[in-house]
Amino acid sequence: MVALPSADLKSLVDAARQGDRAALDDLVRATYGGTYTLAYRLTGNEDDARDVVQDAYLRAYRGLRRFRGDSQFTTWLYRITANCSANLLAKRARTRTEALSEDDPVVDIRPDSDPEQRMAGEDERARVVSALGILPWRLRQVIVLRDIYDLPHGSIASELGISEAAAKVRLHRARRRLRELLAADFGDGMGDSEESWDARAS
Amino acid sequence: MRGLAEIVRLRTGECREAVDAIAQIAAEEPDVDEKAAAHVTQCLRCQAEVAAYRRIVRHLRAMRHEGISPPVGSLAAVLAVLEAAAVEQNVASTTWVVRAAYVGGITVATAAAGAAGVMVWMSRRRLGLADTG
Repeated sequence: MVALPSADLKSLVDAARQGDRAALDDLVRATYGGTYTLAYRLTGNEDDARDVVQDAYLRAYRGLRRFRGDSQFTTWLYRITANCSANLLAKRARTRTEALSEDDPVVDIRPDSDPEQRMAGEDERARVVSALGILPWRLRQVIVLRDIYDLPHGSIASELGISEAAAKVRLHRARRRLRELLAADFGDGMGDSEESWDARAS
Repeated sequence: MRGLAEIVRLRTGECREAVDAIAQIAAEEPDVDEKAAAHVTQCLRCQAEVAAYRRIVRHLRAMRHEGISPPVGSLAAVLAVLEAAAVEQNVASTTWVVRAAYVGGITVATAAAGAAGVMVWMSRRRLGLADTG
């Protein structure tokens, strides 16, 4: 799956909109890697990512004629993917008897969370990926969409079905939790819980 | 005069209030709370935190360009789903065309029959008038 220049992608989109099946297949092949990566980052597992991607491409196919081309095709597709992911995860959470709340403490399930067991010079990137993976899904989604994919707050809000103000509040909360999880790797400053702040202040 | 402990407590409170602004500054976002931003410029501890968070943001942004390999067969599955959807759509549109043609045919036939009826009625009427005249 090689990323195509945007002009090539546009011509594929135009042809696919006219009903060219081969162009549609090429369009899917050209964008599949990126879409799957986003779906995986949003859902945190392979099975859900597959479901989300399938749903996203089906919706994109059915809505292709409505794509006005005033944004990049990949941005449009990523928004659909975010929406499909939010729907799937919300549905899952509703069916679970014990859904993890955003405010529940995040348990660090990484086997090497003990600083003594951690190897010196461990890859920071790997730690960030790992911390992101254990964030509650609602918080993970806003970090992925904002800090990785640089989507505007308004788009995030609309795809997650919440207000823009709520999206911003959720992002602040998510960043705090992420920072907390990475305290051992990036210094233990502001990421501390309120309890430890209070303890330090007194 | 404030004691050192009180000053430290106040400063810590300000730092805590600046937590969200620190992430925004590190991510170079607009609309940072002015009071918090002003505090950060004067607080070494908060500036260190901005630097630490900036490293996290850098890693997050770099993730955009790192692909995760999809499982084998998942692309083929999506293409098959799209193929099925296309076939379904074609069948639906073909059915629609057949229905439209059927309804159109009935309409045309009805209109033709009506026109023929009118013509017959008019010619009979004309003949009737001629007989009486």
